[in-house]
Amino acid sequence: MSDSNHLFLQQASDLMNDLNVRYMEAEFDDQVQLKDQLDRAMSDFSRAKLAILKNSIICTSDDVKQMQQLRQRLSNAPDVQKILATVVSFVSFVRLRFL
Amino acid sequence: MQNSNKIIWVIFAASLSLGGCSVEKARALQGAAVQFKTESLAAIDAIDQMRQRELEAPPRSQSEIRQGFISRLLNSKVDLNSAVVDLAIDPFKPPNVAEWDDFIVDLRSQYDGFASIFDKLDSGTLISQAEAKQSAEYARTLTVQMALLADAIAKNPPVLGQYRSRTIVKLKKLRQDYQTLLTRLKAREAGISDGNETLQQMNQRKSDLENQAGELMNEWQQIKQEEQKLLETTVAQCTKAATIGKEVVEVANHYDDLEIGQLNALIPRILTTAAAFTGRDYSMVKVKATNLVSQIQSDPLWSGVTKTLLDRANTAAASRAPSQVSLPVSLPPTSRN
Repeated sequence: MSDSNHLFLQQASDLMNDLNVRYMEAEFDDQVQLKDQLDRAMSDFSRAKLAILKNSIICTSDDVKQMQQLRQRLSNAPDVQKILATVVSFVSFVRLRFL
Repeated sequence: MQNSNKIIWVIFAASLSLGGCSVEKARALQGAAVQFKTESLAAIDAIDQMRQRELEAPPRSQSEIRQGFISRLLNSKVDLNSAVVDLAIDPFKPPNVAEWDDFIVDLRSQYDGFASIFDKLDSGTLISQAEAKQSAEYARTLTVQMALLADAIAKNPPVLGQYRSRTIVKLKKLRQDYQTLLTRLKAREAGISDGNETLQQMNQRKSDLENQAGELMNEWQQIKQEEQKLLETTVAQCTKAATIGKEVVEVANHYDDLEIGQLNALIPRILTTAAAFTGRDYSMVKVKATNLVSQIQSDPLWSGVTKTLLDRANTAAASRAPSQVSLPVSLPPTSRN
């Protein structure tokens, strides 16, 4: 299994933790807005992890960089709309690239 | 007869009409095969448990659920509907992941396919050669899958995401409260008063917050210990199942050349070796998992099944876009309010 697979999963896992923190800290009305996309992100992350455990993903260093960039974007997101936009990007990236 | 179905065929034949010594030999092998069946089921349960725990939220008491619901719902301004009420009750419910469900179902069906032959043997039902062959194929596939999964999970340990996030949220809030209090204490020392709290009360609260930080450190360490335990249990169980499966199939492969005395010495040794994989000596288990994958990839007896599984995976990987995908930023309409 490549190091990039491990690094990708680590970055994606960190991003999911950051996202969960933002969600838990949000007001309930914002949680209502975020929940669908949060579920999609959690689900796709879990699917990507399964694909990695089944050896059916070969990550590249670009994939790892994309995850780092997305994590940075989430960290800088000032409001729920920016968080949503980042989550949508994460979901699209994982789906197009890996699922 | 192919090597792959020999184990089942030998046990099946023994149940019918083999002579005394052959029956003894088959029984020795059956003991190990039954053990493989038991350990495979335990490994599948461990994988299932691991994937569920990775997504689950920390448990909350009934009073926490009730209080949280009251606070969220009464302070909200979104339109109320069923989905919003459900969300107010449990905002941390994880999604179902169909691919994982399918994967676990697939593992269990392979197990069932392998195990069903033993049910038939126990009930005295006749078994066709095709059934025996199919059952042995399940055993080989399960063995290879368990070996590959043990190695992959060891390299990508489970993370209790929602547990970690909850503790981080608590730590962030605590740090903010603490730093606000320190600012107020400094102001008080400079003679600026900003409330009714006495200096003694403020110092007491500072001490309380410091104690809470210590408790949260323990909470964090417990989460990490729980993750490590989950990792070790799952990898050890998969390694144990794969080790027994591999040894049993290989013994069956040399079955005709082995005397009863040799089998009686060999089988307990296999079971004793596998029983040592408890996760207590995790570094040893991890090395064993890696070695198992190397062995099954290079050994002609196993490389066929391994190649089939890895080829299937590689075909899936090759069908995907090989490099950068542009990141869309548009938002979908929200469906909840």
